[in-house]
Amino acid sequence: MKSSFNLFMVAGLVLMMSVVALIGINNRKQMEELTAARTWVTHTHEVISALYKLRATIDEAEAGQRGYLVTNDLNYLEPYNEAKSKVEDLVEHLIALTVDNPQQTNRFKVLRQLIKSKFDLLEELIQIQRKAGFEAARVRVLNNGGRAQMENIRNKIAEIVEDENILLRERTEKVEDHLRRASNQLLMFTVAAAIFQSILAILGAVSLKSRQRALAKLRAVLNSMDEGLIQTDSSGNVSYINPAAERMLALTKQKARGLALSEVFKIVDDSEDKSEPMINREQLVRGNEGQIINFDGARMFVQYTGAPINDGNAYEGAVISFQDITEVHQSELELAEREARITAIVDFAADGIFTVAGEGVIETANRAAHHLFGYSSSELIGMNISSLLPEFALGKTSELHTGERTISAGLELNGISKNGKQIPIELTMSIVNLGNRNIVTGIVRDIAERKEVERRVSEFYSTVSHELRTPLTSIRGSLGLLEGGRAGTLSERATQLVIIARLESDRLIRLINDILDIRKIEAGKFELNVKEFSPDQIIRQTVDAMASLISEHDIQIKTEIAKSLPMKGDPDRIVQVLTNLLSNAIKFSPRDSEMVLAVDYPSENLCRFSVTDRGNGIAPEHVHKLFGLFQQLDASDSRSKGGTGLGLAISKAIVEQHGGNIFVDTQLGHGSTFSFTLPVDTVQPQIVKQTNKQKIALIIEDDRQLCAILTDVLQEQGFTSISKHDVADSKEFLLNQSAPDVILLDIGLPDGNGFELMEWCGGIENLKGVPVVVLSGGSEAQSLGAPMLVSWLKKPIDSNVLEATLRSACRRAGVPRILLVEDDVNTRQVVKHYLEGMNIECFEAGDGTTALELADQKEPDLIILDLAIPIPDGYDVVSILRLNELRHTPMLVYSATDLSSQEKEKLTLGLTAYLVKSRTSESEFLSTVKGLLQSLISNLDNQTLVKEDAE
Amino acid sequence: MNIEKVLLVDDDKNIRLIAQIGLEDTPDWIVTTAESGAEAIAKATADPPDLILLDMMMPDMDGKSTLVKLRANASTSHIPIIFMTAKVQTQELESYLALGAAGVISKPFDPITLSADIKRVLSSLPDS
Repeated sequence: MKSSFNLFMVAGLVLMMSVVALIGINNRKQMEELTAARTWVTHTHEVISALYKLRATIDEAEAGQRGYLVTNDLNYLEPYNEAKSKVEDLVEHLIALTVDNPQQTNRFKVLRQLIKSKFDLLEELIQIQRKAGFEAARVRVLNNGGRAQMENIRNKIAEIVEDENILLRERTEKVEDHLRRASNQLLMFTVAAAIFQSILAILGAVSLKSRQRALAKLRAVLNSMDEGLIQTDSSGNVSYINPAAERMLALTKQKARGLALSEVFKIVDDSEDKSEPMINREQLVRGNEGQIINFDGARMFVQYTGAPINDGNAYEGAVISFQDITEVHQSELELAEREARITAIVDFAADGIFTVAGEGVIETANRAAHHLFGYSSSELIGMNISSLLPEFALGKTSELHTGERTISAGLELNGISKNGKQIPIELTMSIVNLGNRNIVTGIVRDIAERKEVERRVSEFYSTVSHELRTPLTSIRGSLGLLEGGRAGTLSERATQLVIIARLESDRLIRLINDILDIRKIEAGKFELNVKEFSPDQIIRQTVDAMASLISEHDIQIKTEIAKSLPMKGDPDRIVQVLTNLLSNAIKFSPRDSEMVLAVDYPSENLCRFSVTDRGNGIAPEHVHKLFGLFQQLDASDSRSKGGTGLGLAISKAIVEQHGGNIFVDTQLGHGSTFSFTLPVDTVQPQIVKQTNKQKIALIIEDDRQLCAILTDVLQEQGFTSISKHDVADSKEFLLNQSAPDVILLDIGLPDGNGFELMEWCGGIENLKGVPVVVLSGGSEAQSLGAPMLVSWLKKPIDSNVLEATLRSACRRAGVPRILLVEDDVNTRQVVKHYLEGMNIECFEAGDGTTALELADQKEPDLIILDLAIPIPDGYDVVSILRLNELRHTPMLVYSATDLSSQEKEKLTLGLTAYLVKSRTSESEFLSTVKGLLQSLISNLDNQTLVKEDAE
Repeated sequence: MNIEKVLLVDDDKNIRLIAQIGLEDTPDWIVTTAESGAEAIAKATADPPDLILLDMMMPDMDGKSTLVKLRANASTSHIPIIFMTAKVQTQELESYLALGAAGVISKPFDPITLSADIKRVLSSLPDS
């Protein structure tokens, strides 16, 4: 009986031990897998962070290069060079990191190619800047597709990041899964070990030998564990710690024995009271995290599980197992820190930075953005970007989101602050691809100061130019008179000296002209006066202008004109270039030599002018300096030849402004050929910036979406819009700002009624005359009797109707007014007869002066203008009207003869029609007049143009 | 176009003197001077000249306003006006001509060729 009991006991014991060992081994395997999975997570983090670093490095390189291009300051090349040296290593590092993933490796190979081309381009631009100056680099920048290249790189990186993010999610899940399983198994192990111990205790008396064997096996398991294990007795003192725990706690089990658990496993997390966290006599505590301090004073983050050991109902002690998670914790901390750092940088940046979600709604905005626009952070978030930047229309942001529009860098426009003030800003928008969605980020910079500086610089140049020329006029004039003998005959010696002084003042004058040209080139304000011309005309003018210099040097000029096709450009400027090249050639050639001035066509639409001399030629090391500013190859030489050192730089700018290029082909000792090409018939005149004062529209409407749409429509009408969404805000704005030109008013506002607001406006002096357009969801136009109510628009709002309404809203009230300018009384009678059937008011002027006076007083809706009127004539009247508020007035030019397109261009005001007197029938005249008027006031239902009694 | 009386308007007395000496080349011309836009208008109204040489940058009333006023006055509206200006940029030049100036002579001018330059401008006018 006894032996069979023993046998049973031994069998049970073996079975039990096997279970514990199995769990232990399995647990170790789990831990190994967990460690591996964690390594992968860390690895993926590393790849992603390296990718961001790569992108930042490329951005840095580009920014540095831009800086250099714009300022020519070599300091900007430092970050560029640094980035350039880093970028290749970064890519190689990334390829090495992702060698396990062939798809990513392939992408990196593509990326490496893209980055290489990008840097080649950046380098090329730097070389262009270095050799040929900013303007050449600028032209190259405009044509190089660098932006698209950068976009490709960004997209490629985004693609890789996206994949890595997917991997990261998978891997993180895996870690969590392993953690869960490990934790469960640890629990099982703990429980099994506890049971096992209890059994051992029971079996204590049964078999010492088998117990010793079992203990040895158990010890082997405990020794092999990576987790630390602590066992306590019923009073909470440590009875055993395993080798892993010894290592982590820096404490031998001998020393640990008998110490209180809280001394051995010292939790230093102050955030919560965890004095005895792991001992709960009733149940298990698991998955806790905390920081402990070991006996070496080192801190580590641990995850721990505690289980009570109960013998029946008696509490026997507890088992605590724990593992070191410092590394995981560290990487989490680093991530959080990095984010905090970026947030701090963004928040304290001097420029406003914001992100925009779909439909232009602002998601985040930094301090500078709040400060710039005057809104608090809670106000700004959720606002539509179009109320801050009305000129940057809503449609464009949605295009940004669909990727149809890439980025806008350095866009100058006006922002509107909370108090309605216009702020000149520079806007840079870009797309950041975050996995499956794009975030639009905007950077706004307050450029009010810069604008003011620009204006002052421009004014300064203008003043300096005048101030320098005035004394020079006297000096040059006096010298000329002396030289010409108007002050009596001079001695030969005196004449010689006077000529020197006169030549030098001529040079000073040229220098001032050249500096002004350079200033305009640098300010981007160098404009061409484009006309049609022919190359032979240019050659003729150049030779004529240089006649005296040519004969002075006994130069033979040979002209070779292959053919002379008419082309477009600024002939005066092209003559300036050719004169400059020719005078250089003459000055640096031996006397009595021959020169060739040639025109040919290297390709169908390219015309080439060239000047070939038989001079000394230019040394190769000097060629690249030729077109720079103040780059005389030999200062003393140039000065003795009367040059300014700016001629070639200006020539280059002129040629490039025409879309052409300038070249030099030279051989030391054999002469030089300077040539430039011009595209035939492709020169577009530069559009002169309109400097119209923008009209202000105040939109009072609680529907922000509608505000954005209205802002868009109003912008096309030349209005700058300010949106207010409730009565209180609107009142504050109206009281503190100058009166808007028109108010668009919603009736149902969150804190009041639009009609009441309108009545309130009526009581304020400077708001009385402001026209109001009511936007209403209702169907009935209420009769209010408010004097300023102009029109009633039903929602949804038709943009065409809105446009017409706005035009009439801003017009002076009353029937349409026509100003008839015609000196011939009979013709006036005829025209008045034509107009008889219309419900209009007609004012007559017989000469230009009266016309201008009447236009000013009456603000006509239409001007009918004859050209041959007494002074000022029709052309002059139009140029004067263009200078003032009446420049948008519709006009009918009613002339005696046909007008050329150039003449028509000079005779354009607002909407302008042209009719020739002898060829125009009454009906044609009337329909033209009605057309011009109708477009202006089409929506005034209660005012018809045609009198009811008329036919 | 027969020129007898020339009115020279410039606020700088040195320039007035130099231009006057230059204009002595054409002894038929009787040159009177004015040192401001207001004086020019007064003199031109009292005794209309056949030609006005008008400086652009003058204090109080600049050349542009002076021209507009002269053109708006019936007794002086027909007189050809040549601007003499130190601000010669293409765009500005066009705008002067658009205002109704007969031509522009840029400063610094050469007094030796001033008479000839003026005659060339006048001969290019469509009426002559």
